[in-house]
Amino acid sequence: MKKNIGILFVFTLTMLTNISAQEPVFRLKNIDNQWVQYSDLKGEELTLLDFWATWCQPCLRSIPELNRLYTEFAPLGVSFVGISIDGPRNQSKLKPFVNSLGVEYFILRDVNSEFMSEMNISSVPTLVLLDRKGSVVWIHEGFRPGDEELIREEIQKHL
Amino acid sequence: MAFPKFMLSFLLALLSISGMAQLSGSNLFEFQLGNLPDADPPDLSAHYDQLNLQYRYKSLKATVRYEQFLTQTPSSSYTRLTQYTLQYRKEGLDIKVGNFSEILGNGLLLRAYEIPGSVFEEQAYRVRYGFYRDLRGVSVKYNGDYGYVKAVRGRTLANSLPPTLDEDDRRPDLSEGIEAGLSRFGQTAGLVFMRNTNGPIKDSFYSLLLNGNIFSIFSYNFEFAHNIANSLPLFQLTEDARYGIYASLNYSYGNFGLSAEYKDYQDLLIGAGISDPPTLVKEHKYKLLNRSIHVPQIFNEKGSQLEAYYSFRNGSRLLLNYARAVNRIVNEFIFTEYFAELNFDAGAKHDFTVFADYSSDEIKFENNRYTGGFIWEYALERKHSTLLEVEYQSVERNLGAPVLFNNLVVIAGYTYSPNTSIAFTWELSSDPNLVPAGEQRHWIGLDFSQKLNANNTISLFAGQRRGGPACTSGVCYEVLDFEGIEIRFKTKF
Repeated sequence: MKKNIGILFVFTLTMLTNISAQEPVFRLKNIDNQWVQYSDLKGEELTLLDFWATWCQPCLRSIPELNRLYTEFAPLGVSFVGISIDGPRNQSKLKPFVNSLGVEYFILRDVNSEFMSEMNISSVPTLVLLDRKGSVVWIHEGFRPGDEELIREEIQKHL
Repeated sequence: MAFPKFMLSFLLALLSISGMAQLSGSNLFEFQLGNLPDADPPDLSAHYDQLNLQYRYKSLKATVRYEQFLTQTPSSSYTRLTQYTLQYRKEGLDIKVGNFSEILGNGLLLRAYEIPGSVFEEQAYRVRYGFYRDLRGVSVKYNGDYGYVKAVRGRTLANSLPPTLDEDDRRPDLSEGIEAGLSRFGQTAGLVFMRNTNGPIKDSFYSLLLNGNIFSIFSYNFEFAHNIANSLPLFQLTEDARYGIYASLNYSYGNFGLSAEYKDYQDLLIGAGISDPPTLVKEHKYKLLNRSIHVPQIFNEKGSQLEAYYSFRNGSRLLLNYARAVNRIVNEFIFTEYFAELNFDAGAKHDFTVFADYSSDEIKFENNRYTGGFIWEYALERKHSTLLEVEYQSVERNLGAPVLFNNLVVIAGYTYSPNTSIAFTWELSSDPNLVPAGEQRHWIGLDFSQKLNANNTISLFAGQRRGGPACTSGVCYEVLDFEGIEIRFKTKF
């Protein structure tokens, strides 16, 4: 047992030494059922991915703030992409829900959370900020009042 | 066998470090010390580890998942390579060999999924493992501008069976399916054919799909699935037939949105349970509502759901939901639920969410369930915020002599954003299924989470955690009671 724990500990350390950068690859449907891929949506300077779900309260609280930030930063080459991980249970609600919130940025469907798993994301909401090469430069989990300022600072820092 | 598998991953890690390959992944380490009330033996000292490695080179990707569970019971301990996949993806083509998630249509016939970050445990086995129901086999998909086609063949995991069992036993179903659809002018029409083999039992189904948008304010989704049997017609909506109907019509105009859905599922329990049709029951984040959720009986359930949303100009949101389901199992059992939720800001620093819910679930013999509560978040100053959540529920149960009992949840939390959070949870229940009549039971727990850097987070739970049904991403499962200390260490790289 001790040997196995030791092996896993070594593994964890191995991981910590290797922070690699990879451009995300996805081909997902948007709320109008059209296929889109990362290269269609990525920003000239930065891309902010927002993993969220309709049943997640903090996600819903963050969306109006993200909408405001999108309006502020879109002219500067920052793209915002919402990735809904709602399963089949909530698929039909997604479009009217997004429209009622007045979301202006792209919303995509990750019905089986495959892209979420690929990005090693394990909770919602999670924001992932990518630079122009597609490398992850910032990750933020959860959303609390005042977090919009943190998001703004991180975007400005990496612009 | 475990050591060579370990070596394979270790070599991948070394290759990555040396710059010869691109490697990414994650690791979840969890240690529990305490006990599982109502289990035998109740004492517990265990660790679970899940390591996910991804190697990518241009359009090729290889992934492996190791899982390990070590506890004082040798028969419950394991170290296994539980998933491995080789994937080729270019433009619209996506080919996978190994383990993968997939859905046919809306999931009426087949849905293989993963709940990222979740760890599952059945009381019967007391073995912890990743929460997913995957296929092991081959998947080929092509998505084009005017249509799509996908074909899958694989053995579906029965995820109630832990990795300590033989892999062949855990995958009793051989599922084969093909789905194709054509899209023009915002409308898509599709067809599914699926065959499932579980031992000597072979089931074949077809499914018709329609979805699209009308005038940009309406969208719809329709699926009709039916089994194919020599002795029965291809379209028969009687109680001795096997079919599923799912339909939704959605409307949005300005800040208003409306979704109306209908379901009729008759004997859709395929194999060991490979389907996952839309439930048409509100998916709740609130602990008490999540725990008392109606779990659809897909061998016989009809129902509908209506949900409306409105976003006010000041940013407030109103959500109204109505759900109804009817089960015919000798007698007729009816489930109804009315749910309302309002979120609003009270000044720049206060955020309130209030909710009220009434439901009646005859199949659980629970009538007149009233639930209400609120979440109040207060931004103290820059980066500092507090949270108070209170949920109260009153339930009338009519199994034998009618009983009335209450449930309460209070959560008080503090966050120093973005790295530190701490929350205190107190739960109380007078449910006679848990305590003698007239008594109450308390659960007190403390959660602490610290993000060490961009890729590493450590979490600590100490105290008592109430078990019961829970749903995440539309998938419902049973959470076991726990008392003790739990440490989690999550790493991304």
